[in-house]
Amino acid sequence: MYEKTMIQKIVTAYGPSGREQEVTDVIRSFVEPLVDEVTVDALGNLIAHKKGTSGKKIMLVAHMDQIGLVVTDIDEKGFLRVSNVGGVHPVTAAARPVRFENGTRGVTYFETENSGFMNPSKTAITQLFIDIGADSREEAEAKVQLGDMAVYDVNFLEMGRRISCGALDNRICCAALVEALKDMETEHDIYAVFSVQEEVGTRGAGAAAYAIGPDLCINLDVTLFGDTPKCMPMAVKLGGGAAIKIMDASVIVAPMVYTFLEDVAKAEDIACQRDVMRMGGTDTSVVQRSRDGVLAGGISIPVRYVHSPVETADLRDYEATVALLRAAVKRSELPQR
Amino acid sequence: MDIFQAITELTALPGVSGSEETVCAAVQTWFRRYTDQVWSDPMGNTYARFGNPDGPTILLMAHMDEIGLMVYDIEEGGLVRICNVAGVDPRVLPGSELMIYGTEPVKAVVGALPPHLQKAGDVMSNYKIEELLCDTGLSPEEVKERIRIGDPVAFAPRPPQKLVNNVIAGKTFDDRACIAALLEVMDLLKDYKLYANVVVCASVQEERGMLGSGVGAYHIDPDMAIAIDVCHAPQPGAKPVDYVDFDKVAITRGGNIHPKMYEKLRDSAKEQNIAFETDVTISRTGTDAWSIQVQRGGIPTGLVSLPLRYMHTSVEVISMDTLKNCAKVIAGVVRAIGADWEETLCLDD
Repeated sequence: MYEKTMIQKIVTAYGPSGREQEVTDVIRSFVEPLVDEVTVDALGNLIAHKKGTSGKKIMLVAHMDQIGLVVTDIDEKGFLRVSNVGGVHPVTAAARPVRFENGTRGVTYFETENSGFMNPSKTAITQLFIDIGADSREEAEAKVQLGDMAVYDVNFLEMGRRISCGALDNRICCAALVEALKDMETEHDIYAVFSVQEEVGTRGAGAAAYAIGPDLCINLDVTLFGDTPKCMPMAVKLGGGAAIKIMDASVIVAPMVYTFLEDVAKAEDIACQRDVMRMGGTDTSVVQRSRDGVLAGGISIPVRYVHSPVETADLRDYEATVALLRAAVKRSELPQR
Repeated sequence: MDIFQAITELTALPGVSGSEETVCAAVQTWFRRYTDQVWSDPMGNTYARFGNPDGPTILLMAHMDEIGLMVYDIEEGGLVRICNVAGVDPRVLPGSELMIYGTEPVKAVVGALPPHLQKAGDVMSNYKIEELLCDTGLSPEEVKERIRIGDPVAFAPRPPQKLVNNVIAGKTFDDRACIAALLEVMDLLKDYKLYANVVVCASVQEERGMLGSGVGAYHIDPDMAIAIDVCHAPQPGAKPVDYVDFDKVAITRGGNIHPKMYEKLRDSAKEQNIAFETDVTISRTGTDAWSIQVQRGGIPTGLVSLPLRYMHTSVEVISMDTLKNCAKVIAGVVRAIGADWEETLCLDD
């Protein structure tokens, strides 16, 4: 069973790529009682180590950064010009409430000169701006500096079995990883890594993998979906269970890794589905290619409307993911090439 | 060594990027003809070691993966939707025969809307890969039993055809022909007492962006390396700057090629009177050489290429004579490695 307040706290913490301090603190408070040692490396990866006896190391990794907007200019009237931090669609980012790390609130809108009111469909990121209620550059600069980052200021919506919020990519997986660490039964050394800067090119996890040198890595991240009206075809469905990664745009998982996870799911009667994602990369890739290669796979939680403020997930998939992760690390025999 | 036999065996086996296990097993068997020291790393790169274990290490690499596709979704009626894993030109798919590597290999064809049913102008536009569906002829139930999301899909294997003058046509010569060339290198060197420690590597996931080779070079930590891959030969529509003559060994010179490794390869060709052409590539070569070079503290890396026509189709064309010459050039470099190897890599003042 899941702990909704924990999920909510992790999902709503501030933490765009490169500015993960707040979400690090939140996650740290949850994992500290569950493991032997918690460290933060030079890049900011939060690494929770739970000692084992087998001599084998398993790295579990979920990125904790989220997409955002970075302030690139402040004009004389106090409007903030922005650029994207990670995969922000300008259209989706227009007309949204946002917040900064220091609590400053604002709203985004777009230049209407050419596109007209209420029609951001042709808006480029350079035509977006943030209105923080300031009348002048001086007034704006008192609250926000160049280089500060904003994230969607969103509500945590409960919709029956499903939840909706910004930053479910990838905080829902951070929460799943914390959940899995509770009373985790395993004979292996577990390194639970909450990685940084995934959204700007899977930058953090590689350094952590290099430092750890794991025998197996399981990456938790979100995947896309194929079950909304007239969407691109894809076999993954919300509520279809833990999605076992076969391939994404950045990585092809070794067959012995995904069949290991499938065998575990089958043995424990955990709902699962296969995940082939044509677009989007994950930390799995950089871990797989760390040092002289790592057997790396992934469990994905399907999330609708990824990179929008209304990312939507099914808590049954969350529970299946936690269960699969816990059952996988319990195995003595790990996949080998 | 019978090169045609090696190519025939190696190209008959599936090995779409990321799913190289089957071809890997065959490569291991071929490697074992020359050495007992054969192994794979966690990514699947497969190695063979021979020569002087105390000598400087030279890594020779060709990739064993092939371009291919993957089952992405299965329609209610049993038609199979595919996505690109690496390198497949969607324009060559309609009308082609594929093999889906499910619980057992399943033949499939890629259909296309007949001209009679198209709208005016459709003929001018290309199919997109997401619009294409594979037809196996199986019932939806049979499809479910035999095919799963994530199964690799490749062009259906067909034995290489001998054309004339030792020219052959077939699929996956990119880069299994170069694996055969490395086997030929092992064959050429088998009776020599070498100063060098030689590691031959059949790498994985090259077609996805040279992903296996970095791991391979890190794993071996060699003193120098040579990658061998295919390059374009003259063919209709290609510009001279983009190709190397069909009967010449291409030796790359350029930004990410170590000048002394280039010279070693060039001198080896000259000494053996082998026809070669200097292929100038200033930036990214699109080969394993690119990722080998930057591993660890940097690795002096050279690149040899075998000219090939119609790359990434199932009728790739090469000359077995040129292939043999590629092997001779590489073997010559390996034989020439002696106690002065470190000096021979030092750049001129």
